[in-house]
Amino acid sequence: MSERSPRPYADPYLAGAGLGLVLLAAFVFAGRGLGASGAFGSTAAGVVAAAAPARAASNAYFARYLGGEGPWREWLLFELAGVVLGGFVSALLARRLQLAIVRGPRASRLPRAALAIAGGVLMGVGAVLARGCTSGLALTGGALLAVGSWIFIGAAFAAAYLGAPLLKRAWR
Amino acid sequence: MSELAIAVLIGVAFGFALERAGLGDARKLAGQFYFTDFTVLKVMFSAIVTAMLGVYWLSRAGVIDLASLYVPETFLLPQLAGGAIFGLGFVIAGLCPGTSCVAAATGRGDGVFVMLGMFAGVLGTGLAFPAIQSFYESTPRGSLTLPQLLGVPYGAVVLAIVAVALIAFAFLTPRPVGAIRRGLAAVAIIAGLLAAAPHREPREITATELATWIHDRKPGLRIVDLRPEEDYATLHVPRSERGPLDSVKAETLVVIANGKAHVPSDAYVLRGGIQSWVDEILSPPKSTELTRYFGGIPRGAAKPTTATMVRRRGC
Repeated sequence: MSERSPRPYADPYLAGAGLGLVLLAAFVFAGRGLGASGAFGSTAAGVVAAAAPARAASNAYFARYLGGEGPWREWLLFELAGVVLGGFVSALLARRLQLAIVRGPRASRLPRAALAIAGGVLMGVGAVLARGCTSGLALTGGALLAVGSWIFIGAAFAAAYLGAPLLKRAWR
Repeated sequence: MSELAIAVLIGVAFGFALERAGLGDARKLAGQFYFTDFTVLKVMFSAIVTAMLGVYWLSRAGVIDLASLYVPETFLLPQLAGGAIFGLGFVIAGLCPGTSCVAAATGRGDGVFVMLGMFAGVLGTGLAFPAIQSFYESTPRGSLTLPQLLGVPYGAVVLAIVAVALIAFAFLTPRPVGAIRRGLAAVAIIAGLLAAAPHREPREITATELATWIHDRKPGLRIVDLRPEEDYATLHVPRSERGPLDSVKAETLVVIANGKAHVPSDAYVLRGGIQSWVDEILSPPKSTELTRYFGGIPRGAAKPTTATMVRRRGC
C-alpha cells in the first residue's frame, strides 16, 4: 500500500460504539440527543420566514422553529455544521477526501444526481411526517426505547429492502 | 461553555464517527439493502446498544435523570408512513440526512445533491403542512416507551435489545472473532444482564398521593426536601422540611429531590420531584382537585405553571 492511498475504514462495531458514546455525551452534556433533519426544518423555516413572514408564522410546522432565539440559532443547525467539519477532518486525516459522484458500477453521473435529489426529497417528506430521521428519531429515540422510533426503524428498513430490487441498475 | 459551542463539538464527534465507519460512502450504505455490506446495521445497532446501556447505567448511578430526557413522541400512523417514505428515499439516495452531510464534506457530489433534495422535501412538506396536519397529529401515544407498552421492567427491554443485536452481529461476523469485538460483546452482555437482574428501586409516590397524606395528616409522616436552600425558599411542599437525611427518623419518610437521590430503603421518593407537585397539585388539570385538598373556589381554566411562574405570583 502506498503512502498516498486512503486508509481502510474503522471496525464498524468500534465505530458504532464510538457513535453511541457521542450520543451518550449529547444526553449528558446537552440534555438531548443527536439529529439532522431538524436542521433542514429550521433552515426551511428561516428561509420562508425571510421570504413570507406572515405565511411562516401561520404555518404550524415552520412556526415551531421561529420561537425562542429564531431558526438560525437552532441547536441542530450548529450540530450539523459540526458534522460537516468532523466528517471533513476525519477524511483528511485518513486521506479519504476525494471529489467524486459516488454511484453504482453501471450508473452514470446524471441519473445518479437525479436519484440523489429524488431520494433526498422523499427523505425530507418522510422525516417531516415521522418527526425525525435516522439520527434524531432512530438513533436517539431507539436508545431511549421510544416506541415510535422502533416503528420508524422497522418501516424504513422494510421499505428500503422492498425498493432495493427496483434500483438494481443504480447500485449493482 | 455555551450551548451552541457544545452543539458544534458534539456534531464534530458525530461527523467524525460516521466518516470513520465509512458512512459517507453511498455504495456502502446501499450495500445494506443488497445484503453485500452490513456496515449500516452494525454501526447503527452498536451505537443504539452503547447509548442505551450508557443512559440506563448513568441513570441508575444518579449521574443523569432519565425522566428529564426528552423521549421522542410516538404517533403510530405518521411514523409508520413517514418511516416507509423515508426508507424508500434512503435506498434511492444511498445516504440518509446525517450521512449526506458527511459525504458532501468529504468531496462527494452526490452528498450535496441528497442535501439539496432533502431541503426541498422538508420545505415542500412544510409549505403543504396545513393539508397534512390532521394526519401528522393522528394516533398520538405520547412519550411511550417499549417497557411501558409491554408492561415489563426497563432493564428487561435493555437486555432483550442487547441480545437481539448480538445475535444479529454473530451471524454477520466471520470467525474467528477478534479481541476488540469479543471485548465489546462481553461488556454489552454483562451490562445487559445486570440491567435485567432484580434490583431495588426506591419506592415512589405521586404528588397526588402525597397531597392526600398531608391532607389526612398521616401519622408519623415526615417530608424531607433535599433541594438547594434557594429552591426550597422559592417553593416547597407544605409541612416539608429541608434535608439532609442523616439523622431523620420517621415512620413514613418522603424525600423530595432534584433527580436521583440515595434514600433509606423504607423511604418514598416523590415521583417527578417538585415539578410534579406544581403540575398535579398547584395547577391540576381539573381545578376541583385543588379545592378537594386545600379548600377554596376552583379557578376557571388552570394554566400550566412552572416553579418560576409560581415565584412570580408570590405563592
